[in-house]
Amino acid sequence: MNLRDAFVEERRLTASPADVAAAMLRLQAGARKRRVLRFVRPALAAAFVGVLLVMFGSGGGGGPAVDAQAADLFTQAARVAQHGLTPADLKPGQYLYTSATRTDTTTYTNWHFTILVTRTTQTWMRHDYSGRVRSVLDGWAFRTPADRRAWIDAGRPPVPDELKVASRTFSRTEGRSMVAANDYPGDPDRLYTKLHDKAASGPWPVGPEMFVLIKDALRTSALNPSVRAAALAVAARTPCAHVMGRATDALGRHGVVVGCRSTYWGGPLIDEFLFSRTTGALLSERQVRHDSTPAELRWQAISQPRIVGSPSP
Amino acid sequence: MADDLRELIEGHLRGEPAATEALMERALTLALRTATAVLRDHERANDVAQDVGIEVLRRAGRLREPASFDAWVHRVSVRVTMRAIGRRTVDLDIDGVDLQAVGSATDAMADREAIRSAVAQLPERQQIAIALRYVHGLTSDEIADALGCRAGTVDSLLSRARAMLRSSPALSDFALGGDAQ
Repeated sequence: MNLRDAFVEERRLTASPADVAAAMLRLQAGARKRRVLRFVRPALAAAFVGVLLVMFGSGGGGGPAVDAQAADLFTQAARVAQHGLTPADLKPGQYLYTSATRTDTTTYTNWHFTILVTRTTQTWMRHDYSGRVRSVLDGWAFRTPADRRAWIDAGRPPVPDELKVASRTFSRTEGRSMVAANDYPGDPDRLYTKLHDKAASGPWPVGPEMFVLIKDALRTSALNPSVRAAALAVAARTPCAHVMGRATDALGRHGVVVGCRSTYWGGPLIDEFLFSRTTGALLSERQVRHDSTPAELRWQAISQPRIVGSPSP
Repeated sequence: MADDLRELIEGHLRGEPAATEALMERALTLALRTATAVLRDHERANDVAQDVGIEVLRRAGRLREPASFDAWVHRVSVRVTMRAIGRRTVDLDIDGVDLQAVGSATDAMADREAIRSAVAQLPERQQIAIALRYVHGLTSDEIADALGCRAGTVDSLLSRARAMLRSSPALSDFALGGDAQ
């Protein structure tokens, strides 16, 4: 093998429609911003005063509202998502490759300790939706020092008790079910109704529960772009989401955090999404317990889908 | 090709979305290849490509000669990728991945990964020169234009890079050959 052979994959790379759409959006947004600022700057001060008057005049009441900044981020992410790749874009011999690295808690109830297990799941899907999924155990850690002490007290049992590498093929039917995520529709209005009804049927607050349902759907890395876009569009209309600042995810990617606070499931929790500051694409999601001892309960980093020529890691 | 590019650039400057989109795709693809070869991280390479595409399209009105569009994209790609190398925080690691039972395709991939890992240890300008030569197939003059140096300097950069790769213990089993294009 020579140096030229080593870069064969790079030479085949082309910008995906989603990348082009995201860049076009940023380009247009920049041009719009420059045009608007030329005329609107003098009016901003007056508008700011107006906003202050409304806030103090109303006493901040009026029930839950959609955070405008959060809604903008979700809307931008939905636009990026709808240009994503689908198995229909593939030629024979090609695979749609998706990857997600995820950490979850595993509790050993007999021994009273909890560990955090990180796995990377890779999916290769053919144009007919059949394919292969491969899961690799990346590592694990005790959630807290107290969990480590409990593990020692239990006689240091072997953990985690799962396969390091698990690989299997899946059928067309299973593949179609993976990209459809609970048969969710790709139309935002229909999906909003479906998720709202589902959330309202339980004992939990509707807004945070819808947020969790949306996160559950987006967790599927091979999700159909239309369903992903619809879920993000629904998130833009869901009360409770707020921009919480900037952050870097577990893979070192920078972005803007949108989170939803809730107090069910036995304590104060924050469910968060991390969006790319440059493309608006959804990078990661995580759940954090937010009480006197804040702790990360789970996180997942999703890579953007791409087309590859063989189902190898 | 130059005529096509001239039409696209003029269309972009007239505000035609299709022309802007076509130019954007071209810029993103060129930048993505360079950035992926150097950063070895698809997400971060995408971010770099986005920054390059936006900058190139915003300043397209300043481009006097359409035929030099690609060279301009390479110049911007080099600058933005160099900046990203300085911020590199994640190095993809395949040590923990079980490569058994996937056959020759995986062997080839492991070989490619070994070479790219060794390239990632080179000084930044050598990495960029390697990417421009072996990903884009640019001549020394074209690489010199992108790096803002003389062609002789490029030859020296590439020669030093190849010598360092040949002496890398990780690549002792490879016959990296000469300047194969």
